[in-house]
Amino acid sequence: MKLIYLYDEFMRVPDNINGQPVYIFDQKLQKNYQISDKIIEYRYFLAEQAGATIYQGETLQVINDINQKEGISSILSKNTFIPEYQNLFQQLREVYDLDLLPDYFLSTDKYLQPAKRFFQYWNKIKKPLKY
Amino acid sequence: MKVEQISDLVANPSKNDPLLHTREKALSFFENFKPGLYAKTRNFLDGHISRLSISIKHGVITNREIFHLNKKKYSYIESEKFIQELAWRDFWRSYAYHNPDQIWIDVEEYKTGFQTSDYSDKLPTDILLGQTPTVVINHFIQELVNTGYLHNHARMYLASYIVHFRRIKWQAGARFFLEHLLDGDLASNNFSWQWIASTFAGKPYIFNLENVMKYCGQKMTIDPSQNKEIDGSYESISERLFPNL
Repeated sequence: MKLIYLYDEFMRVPDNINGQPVYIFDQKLQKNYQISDKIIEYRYFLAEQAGATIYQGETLQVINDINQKEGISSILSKNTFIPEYQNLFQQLREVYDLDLLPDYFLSTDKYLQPAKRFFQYWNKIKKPLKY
Repeated sequence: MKVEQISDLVANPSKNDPLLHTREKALSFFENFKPGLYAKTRNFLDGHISRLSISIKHGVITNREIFHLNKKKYSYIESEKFIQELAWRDFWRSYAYHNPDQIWIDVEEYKTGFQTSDYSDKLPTDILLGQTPTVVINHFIQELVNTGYLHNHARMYLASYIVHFRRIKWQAGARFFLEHLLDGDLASNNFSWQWIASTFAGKPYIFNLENVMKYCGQKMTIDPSQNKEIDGSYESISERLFPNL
């Protein structure tokens, strides 16, 4: 089974991608802050909309349990800068075939070049955005 | 453990919340969006805004999709301000990719005449409950907590109030926003707080009652006698808030 790992920045399965979406409510992945019931409700709603199987628990453990029961051939998710997810993806890679879609940026060009102030960044990316 | 229904997670789920929209709703919002009007009125609380941030945050719709949809209907000239605002989000994310260690720590020193250690670590109860001496700030706090959304200009006022008028570390305010904002994006949120605080900008962002009345007066009744804490000229407020400068 191809598992599509949804998380708060990736709550919709892109068109033309097949697999079984899962969403896991895992408090430990957000160590620095809690989220309100309203946010939990919205993520539950989006997970349902995406046709995901929804779990609560420690992410790695939940994914390992799914693997034991159903067998995971590969995992698809989306890249992010968030350190907790970067760590999770590294751990998943040690066990599974993990494929990460590129993060969603407005510009397709130079969006990861370092800039310390917004207009330095804007001046790097604006050319291909002009039409 | 499998979750079978929302009540497994939340004690009293609310039904039919207008902010809990689908991709289809987000796209239909965008049908009525006018970037030229956005550029002129977006700073007003009753101004024309896209309301797409919640969907963008969750990847339900991407900023690149929005860019292409907008491109089909409107010229670059009338869309530039809107495109720039989409790019702000990318800028914060791009910076976070390069500096993930700075998401929760000061990028630079405060430019307020104070050290980090001069700021409190926690939000006091009057802020958490929306019972500060300043009525407009209480209104913003209650809107944030009750709806999970706040207009960007109101976010700036509230952040400035917390950091500069109450001298509280930006991290405490950033956590408060992430706890409640449905569109709370870690990079945009935390680096915007640092921009307000001056730890990621050349100077602190401050505001006064006159500015709040200009941009919020159409949507709410503002009584100066109930907002004395933020009343005064920029010069006098700056002297009061930053006596060491």
